[in-house]
Amino acid sequence: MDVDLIFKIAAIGILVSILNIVLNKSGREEQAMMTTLAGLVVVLMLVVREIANLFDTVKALFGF
Amino acid sequence: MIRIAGIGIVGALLAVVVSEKKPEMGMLIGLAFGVLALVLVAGKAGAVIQLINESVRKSGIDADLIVPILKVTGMAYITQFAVDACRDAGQNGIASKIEIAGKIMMLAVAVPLATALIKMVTTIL
Repeated sequence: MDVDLIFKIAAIGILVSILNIVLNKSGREEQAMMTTLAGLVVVLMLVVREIANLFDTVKALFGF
Repeated sequence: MIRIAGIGIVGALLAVVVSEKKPEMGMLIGLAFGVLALVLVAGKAGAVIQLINESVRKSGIDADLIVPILKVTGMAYITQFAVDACRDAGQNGIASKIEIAGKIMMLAVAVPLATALIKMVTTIL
């Protein structure tokens, strides 16, 4: 849990957009779409875990 | 504080760079920064809450009265976080529904306090 998370997400975003461009240029639209989707799911899993962590922290803090 | 400010600036820059090509990734960066900042601050908030609890215990006020206040504060933070995330994604409709749900749940927590007050008044009369 550090700044690494933000860098990780940014790196995945840039990587996915580059892959997307390459695949689109070589005429593989559906694979480009799949790459986008996969990148989104990976990042979403990273973020959702941290959000659950945050909500647990708030719950513990305010005595739910 | 400086750490959070620095992370915020870096996060904003990265979000601008990434969201040019992939707006959804930019939104997720914003979300990740929000979680990071709040978790960093949570430790300080815990100290403040401990202090409040201690002073309440010393002053002899019923501990049951302070619990709903803390609960509502926590709910307000969670609601605000979710609403901001939805607004960032451009979903104002969902954001206002979460807001309404949060208000209703806060009311549900606060109503027992009001009934306790009424009960107290009726016992006096």
